[in-house]
Amino acid sequence: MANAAEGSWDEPVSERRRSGISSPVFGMLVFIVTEVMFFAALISAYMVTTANAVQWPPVGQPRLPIEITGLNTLILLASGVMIHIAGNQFEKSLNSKNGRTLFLRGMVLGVMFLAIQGYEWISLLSFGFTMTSNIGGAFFYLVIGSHGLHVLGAVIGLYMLWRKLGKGTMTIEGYGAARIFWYFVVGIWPILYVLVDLV
Amino acid sequence: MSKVVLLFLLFVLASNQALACTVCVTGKEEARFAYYFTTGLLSLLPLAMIGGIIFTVIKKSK
Repeated sequence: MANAAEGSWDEPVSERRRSGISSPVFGMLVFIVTEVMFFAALISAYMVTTANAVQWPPVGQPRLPIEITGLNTLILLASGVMIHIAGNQFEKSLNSKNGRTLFLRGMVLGVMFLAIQGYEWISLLSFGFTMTSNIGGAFFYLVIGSHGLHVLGAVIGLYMLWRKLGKGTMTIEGYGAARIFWYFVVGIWPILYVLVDLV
Repeated sequence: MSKVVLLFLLFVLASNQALACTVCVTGKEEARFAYYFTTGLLSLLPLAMIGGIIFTVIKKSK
């Protein structure tokens, strides 16, 4: 018979949560498993298609903006670092001024990433490179667009958390879940950048 | 029993190659590698991730 010190079901729920992984974080981890599989499927389809193609990139495809996207990658990575350090500060105290500043900066960098990507897309569309131009265009907008939507969703989530922080209702577990999702969108981007833009 | 053996032999000996996927059709070495790599990725990734979550949960609850 397990006693309370070993994590018995008889002990209060709050005690059990404290000893293990929190529900928001666990839920987010399970969600990320599905997200990873979604991107793995896109990457797999892209790899097999490019390997089978007679010529890649397809004829008539404009040169993708590698330099500005490289800079954008650094912006997103910096944002990931700031959200991480802000989390470390919040673990000490949710009223940490330094944590709030870093959180805001990380969020602003995420918005900057989206703005620069939007600018790139407008340039490519004005050049006539659309989703129906060729299979390269279809994959570019599908893969990069899917990631962009995830960043947008994550930024909205962070903003909602920021508002909660202002009201004093944000929890460290909630921030932990948002932080994990941000790690995911930041971590998957360099893989997509190398595969779609560089290879 | 002999009918089962006959059926088995029919399936094994009288079957043709099924060239259904694009990788089999083109036969490029690069395509073959991509096919094997992505098959491995999509097969092992979910197991690794679920295993990772279970490991984390057990480690954190100790």
